[in-house]
Amino acid sequence: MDAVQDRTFEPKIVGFLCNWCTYAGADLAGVSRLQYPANVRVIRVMCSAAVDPVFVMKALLGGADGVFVGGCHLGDCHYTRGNYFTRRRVAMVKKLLEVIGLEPERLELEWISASEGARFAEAMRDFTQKIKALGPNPVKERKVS
Amino acid sequence: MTEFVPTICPYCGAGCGVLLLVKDGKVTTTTPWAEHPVGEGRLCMKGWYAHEFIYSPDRLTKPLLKVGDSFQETSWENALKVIAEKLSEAKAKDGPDSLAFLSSAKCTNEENYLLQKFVREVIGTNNIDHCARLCHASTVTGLGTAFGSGAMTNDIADIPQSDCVFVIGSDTMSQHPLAARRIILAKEMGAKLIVADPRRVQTARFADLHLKLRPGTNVALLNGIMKSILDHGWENKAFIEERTEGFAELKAVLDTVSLDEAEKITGVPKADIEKAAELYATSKASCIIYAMGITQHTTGTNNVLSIANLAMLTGNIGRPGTGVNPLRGQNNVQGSCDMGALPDLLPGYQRVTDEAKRKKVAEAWGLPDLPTQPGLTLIEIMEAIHAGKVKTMFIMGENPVVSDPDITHVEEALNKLDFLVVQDMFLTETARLADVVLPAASWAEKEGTFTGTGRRVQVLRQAIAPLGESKPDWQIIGELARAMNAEKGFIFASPKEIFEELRKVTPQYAGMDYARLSQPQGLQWPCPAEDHPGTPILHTKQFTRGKGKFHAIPYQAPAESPDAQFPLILTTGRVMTQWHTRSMTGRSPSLNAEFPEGFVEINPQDAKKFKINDKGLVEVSSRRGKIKTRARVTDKVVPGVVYIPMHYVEAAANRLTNSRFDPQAKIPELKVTAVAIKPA
Amino acid sequence: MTKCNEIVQDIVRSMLRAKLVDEVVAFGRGINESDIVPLFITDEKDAEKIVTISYYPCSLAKLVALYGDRNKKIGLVLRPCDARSLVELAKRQQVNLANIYSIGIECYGVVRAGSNSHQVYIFPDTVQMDGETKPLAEDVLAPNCRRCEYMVPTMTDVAVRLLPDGGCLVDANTEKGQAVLEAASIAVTDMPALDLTALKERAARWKEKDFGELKKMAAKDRLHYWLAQWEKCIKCYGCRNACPICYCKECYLEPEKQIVKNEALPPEALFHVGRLLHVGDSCTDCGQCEAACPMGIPVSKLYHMLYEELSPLFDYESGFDLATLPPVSTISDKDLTKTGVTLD
Ligand code: SF4
Ligand code: SF4
Ligand code: SF4
Ligand code: SF4
Repeated sequence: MDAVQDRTFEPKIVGFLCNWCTYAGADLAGVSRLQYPANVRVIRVMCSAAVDPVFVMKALLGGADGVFVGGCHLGDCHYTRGNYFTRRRVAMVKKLLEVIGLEPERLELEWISASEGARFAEAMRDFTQKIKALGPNPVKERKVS
Repeated sequence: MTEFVPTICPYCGAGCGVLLLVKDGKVTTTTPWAEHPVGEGRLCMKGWYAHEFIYSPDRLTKPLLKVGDSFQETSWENALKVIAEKLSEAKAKDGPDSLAFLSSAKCTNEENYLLQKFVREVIGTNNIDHCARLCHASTVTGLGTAFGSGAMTNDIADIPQSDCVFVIGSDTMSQHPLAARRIILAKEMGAKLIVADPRRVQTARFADLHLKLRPGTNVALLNGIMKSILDHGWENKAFIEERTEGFAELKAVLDTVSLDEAEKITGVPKADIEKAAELYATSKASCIIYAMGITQHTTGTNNVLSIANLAMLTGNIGRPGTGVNPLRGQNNVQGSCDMGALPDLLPGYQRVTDEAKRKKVAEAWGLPDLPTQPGLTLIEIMEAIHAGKVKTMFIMGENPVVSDPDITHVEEALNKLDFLVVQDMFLTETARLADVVLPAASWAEKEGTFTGTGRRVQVLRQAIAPLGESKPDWQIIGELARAMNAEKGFIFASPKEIFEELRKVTPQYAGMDYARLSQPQGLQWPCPAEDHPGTPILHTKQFTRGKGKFHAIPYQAPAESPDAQFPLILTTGRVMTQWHTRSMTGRSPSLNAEFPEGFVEINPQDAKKFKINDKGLVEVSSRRGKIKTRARVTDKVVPGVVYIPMHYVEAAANRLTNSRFDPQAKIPELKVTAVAIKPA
Repeated sequence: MTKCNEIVQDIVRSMLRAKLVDEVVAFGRGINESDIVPLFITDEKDAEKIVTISYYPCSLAKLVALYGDRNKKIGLVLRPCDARSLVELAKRQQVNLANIYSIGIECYGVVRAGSNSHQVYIFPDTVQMDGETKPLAEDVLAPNCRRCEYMVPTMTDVAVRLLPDGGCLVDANTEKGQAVLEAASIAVTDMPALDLTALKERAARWKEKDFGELKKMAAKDRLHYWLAQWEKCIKCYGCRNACPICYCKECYLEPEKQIVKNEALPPEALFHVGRLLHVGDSCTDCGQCEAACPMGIPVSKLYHMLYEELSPLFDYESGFDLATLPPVSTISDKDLTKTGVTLD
């Protein structure tokens, strides 16, 4: 079914949020009662660098429509350089998605700090909107296993 | 020192070549053997990890003697003395036919040859059989009567030449992966693929046509296809005329067949039956590939005969890309049959009842004659034990307590024996019941030949010395024979010497010797003379028996049908990384981890009806027993059918299966059992 | 046997004799002329079995990494792709390059797996089979070889350059290489510059063909193409077992890691993608995975395709400089300047 026409399409999104920044940002958004879509299932990680690409791909190949990775701003990583690794990994996974035929836009990396509650809510709105426009993950059309 | 030893995979009948890496006297790993014609440098997972069980801590390294309820280690000398005494005693007291022997399709040609010789010469009975009874006995009888030779007519490597591949009753991707490779290759080169199977096996995903027939309705399906071929005039009249006989009889039966009826029996839509007929009959070269979905039935022989009918009807035999191709299960099940480890056949498929041939073999062994009465088959042996007729048994490398149908019955039988010897690498479920257990060497520790499913005879090379005090089976049999004072015919320094003898009595092997067989491609039998290049394709000019013989086969229902009490049909099979009773794969950590436990597949419709949850524990029962296992709710199986892999002793499908057998081949109906299922 | 083959055997003999190495790993004759198997040679007498034909059934670099003795000095006769794999293995601490003396044979491609049984030598425009020379038909080449642009072994200690007449020129790239040539009393030849234009053009043409077809597809079709390929998979682990970059003693793909589901055939797509994630940045396009695949899945095409995307992104050329670590497991100084790389 065409996603644009399918108004009922509610994407499933997995969010890997770093404990020190983005997760705190999400918390702030919640405390401040900021509205954002409930499509994101949040997984708290100690550092965005702890997001093994294999879990990003497990989510996407398992049928998640989008994956959001949130970490501290560059230079602010609690573990000094973790998010630089994250940046490289996400860049690699995006290329991989393209190569195997999935839209790289299904994966998003944002730097959101603990004080950016409003930015978090906005990022969630934007990303959910973006995935809605992309439509359901085409991986679900053909089951390999 | 580090070197690669080229040898043959010990698992399936595809018979892929492997290289064993031996470092300082230890097997370190297995890799593909690039030059080998079957695998061409590829293996399935079993092949890649075929070395893992060799050093299992469970390996038996000393002979064991049962004292009271437990085993004690003993010396070879003593063990052989005890066995020799008991066998001689039993023979003297109750006659040679009170003894029965099981040979093994996992052992080499030389070992099978030697054991059947021992049984026939030293004991004086034809009571020798092996697990071929459970897999392709009906192939041996069926193709034997139709064509004159009960073996795969073409070769695995030949499949890609086909324009239409018809796979029936074979989960090829899981069971013969390197044969499946050629099927996929054929498909990618443009061949049509028909898969007939009650389950959506992996191969079916690539099929142009998947015929989901009800288990046990093969003949109805094949007759339907043939009927449709005749209706459209697609039969090969010239071939029927010149090369076959008995067509009128077949036609008479087909005249009574209706496609509507076939649809009703098989559950396959009439249009699909016709489509299959068209694809198979109108392609330039069509081949049939089958396995136990055809053979393990009370109508096993009839199923095989129907397949032969179909091939002859369309002239799809004797050319590249055609043929009737049973995929033999065990790595050497072809060879163990060739060697006459069967109660009615001597080496080379010579009947024990054929006096001239029997006397010739006897003469070669320096004897006046051999036992003339055909012996008991596997299932009959178990019956005979219950009836008190067989009292002593000797089992080389088999595990009937898991592999045979109705195992409760088998256990009772083995417990009833006066004396049981088991020769194995491990203390298997069967070995536990033995009075004496002899430690056998593994495939990496001995030399010999294996005959793969394409009739390809190839050399198994020794990579390391036998572990502990274990010995190759051929040595054990030789020593036992000598302990029973049969000196003359049993002194062999090596398997090569045994081969030199066996080729003299096995016409198909006459032209082979180790030097020729040592080439990576081995030799395909028949190879009647030393300058004969071997035979990749059988029946090219004429059939082995002269003319091919059609058989009139009406459809017969399986022995058990679902009823109110047992409303579902159980069919059995295997999984990719396990082998048979898991005595080897269960001890290979990498292989075992992939499919660690048993399960039952059930269609969502039935699951709902019987209140079964996915992954939930269930009880499956039949008229013979019940087991507990986990459910897998999946539309891989059609409604009305459940499926259990046969490997797992904790949830042994064979507690449920029926030992009713095919009247000719005596193969039990492992593929159709009426069962009930409920949450446990 | 070509002159070049004899010279390589000579070099091996001298290395053993001079005790430069304890053992040499090379391809050689097995049970007949066309049976090519890896040999572990400690006795110089066995050097005569070594062949340099254009056939390369497994990665010797991986073999040494897994089964070679770390404390021994090992000579290794290999092709450029495998020599690059050796460097990648060294970066991952799987081999001790200081103890390895590598002899690289110039390579214009090898024949496809399973099509052996010939004495075959491949040159830039010709192929010599069983003594007969013919123009090179590109379809005899393994698919990865057609995309290869690394013909000259610049990353080995000794480089052996092929000449169309079957002879060769020998050069040393390193001090260890010089020691080898001294031991063999071979004078270092000044290598004439080699014009690789035509071969690079061949590589570009095949990349365009192999990858272009896929890239031109709509994304969804490409996805379905790969999903369909993966449906053929029987989870033999052959691709992983054959891949020189897959060195791990404990592999992510195995059931006990509980990442890829077991008890399922074909395995879920993650089985393939998981390995792609680990290897994609460093794939040397050696083709071993594809050659090992029983089901004819174009495995190395996929890995090479990703590598070709990642290489310019991370400015990383796998298999050359020991000091440059795999891009995904490292960060560079440039990363830290925030603007130095555009990864977003
Ligand atoms: S296909 Fe059969 S013979 Fe070949 S590697 Fe697998 S189990 Fe062994
Ligand atoms: S992924 Fe394939 S081509 Fe790439 S290095 Fe590994 S084996 Fe070679
Ligand atoms: S797939 Fe990954 S974890 Fe497994 S061997 Fe390859 S690199 Fe290692
Ligand atoms: S080699 Fe091929 S079949 Fe085997 S695991 Fe890899 S992709 Fe699957």
